[in-house]
Amino acid sequence: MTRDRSLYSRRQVLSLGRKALLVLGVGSIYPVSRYLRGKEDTLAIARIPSSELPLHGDWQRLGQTRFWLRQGNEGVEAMWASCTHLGCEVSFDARRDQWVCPCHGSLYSRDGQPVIGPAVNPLVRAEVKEKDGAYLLQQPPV
Amino acid sequence: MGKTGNDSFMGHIRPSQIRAGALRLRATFCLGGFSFLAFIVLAITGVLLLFYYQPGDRAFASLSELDSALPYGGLIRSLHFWAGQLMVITVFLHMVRVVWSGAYRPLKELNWVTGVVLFLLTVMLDYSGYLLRGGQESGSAATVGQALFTALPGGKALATVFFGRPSPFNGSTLSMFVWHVFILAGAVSFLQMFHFWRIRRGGGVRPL
Repeated sequence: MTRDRSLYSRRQVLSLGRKALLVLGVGSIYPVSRYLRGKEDTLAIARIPSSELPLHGDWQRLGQTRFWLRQGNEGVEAMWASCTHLGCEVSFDARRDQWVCPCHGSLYSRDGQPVIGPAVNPLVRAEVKEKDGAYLLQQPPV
Repeated sequence: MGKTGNDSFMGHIRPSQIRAGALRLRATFCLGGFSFLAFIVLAITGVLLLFYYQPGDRAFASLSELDSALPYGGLIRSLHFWAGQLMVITVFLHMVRVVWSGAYRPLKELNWVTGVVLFLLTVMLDYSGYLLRGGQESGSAATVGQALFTALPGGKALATVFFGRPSPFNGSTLSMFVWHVFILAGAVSFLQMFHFWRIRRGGGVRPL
């Protein structure tokens, strides 16, 4: 250094950086180990706390997923909103009380039974498991 | 342009002497350093993502699981995404700085060429990473990319090498995966080492 006008010397900055790295490294041990041990949960595609469930009325879409949920007589039901014809994403139209496929116009009843083709098979339900106050939703093998 | 430091590996990383001017923040704004920092973050989070990501038809589903069902999965994925965006930006600004201060001129022209290749590789990494998400937007981006490739002479073959099977919607994430994780990332880490070595050989940067 020719002139030393700065607040910190290079040595100080480097040692500060080393300490910051150490703190970051130690601090990431917990999240990384939680992440790597999380394998048991990967069967479920979505996990929702029970408090966040839509508990009223009709099928409601869960966030950005293809899961639709409703409160049935025997607990929470989940629908996997993929058309059984060619797999387009269907959505529940509350006014028509039907599931509508935008691709080839298949219609399903509110319980997922095919009404108008080309689809011939009913919509597939997704499995719902309750665990630790949360619901695990599993994508059906379609 | 005398050479500083010594010839050992550690000497290159932590040279005993360095030009005073090269240490000034205004000389470089540390943009190359920020790019490398982003790359380190990308490498670490990328390795973590490899534990769960499934290329091919399960790409989108496996990432949805990672986001919603794994502790800190969304955090690690977001870090990977944002570090990637940051790296493209800082690499570009780094090049602007090099042009601005004329650091591409002889004695450093080889490092400039290396840097241009590194820039292209960075953009390709960003692009291939976008396709690896396996969403609908990835399919559209793959279609555009393939069309661009096929406009080149011999582009059909090139597109097959890069994108794999003809359909952009299915299965192409597998070949994209190999490029992203092994070939492109490997080439970047190798060229980066060369890039840094050349900086020391060239005696560091001159201030603006």
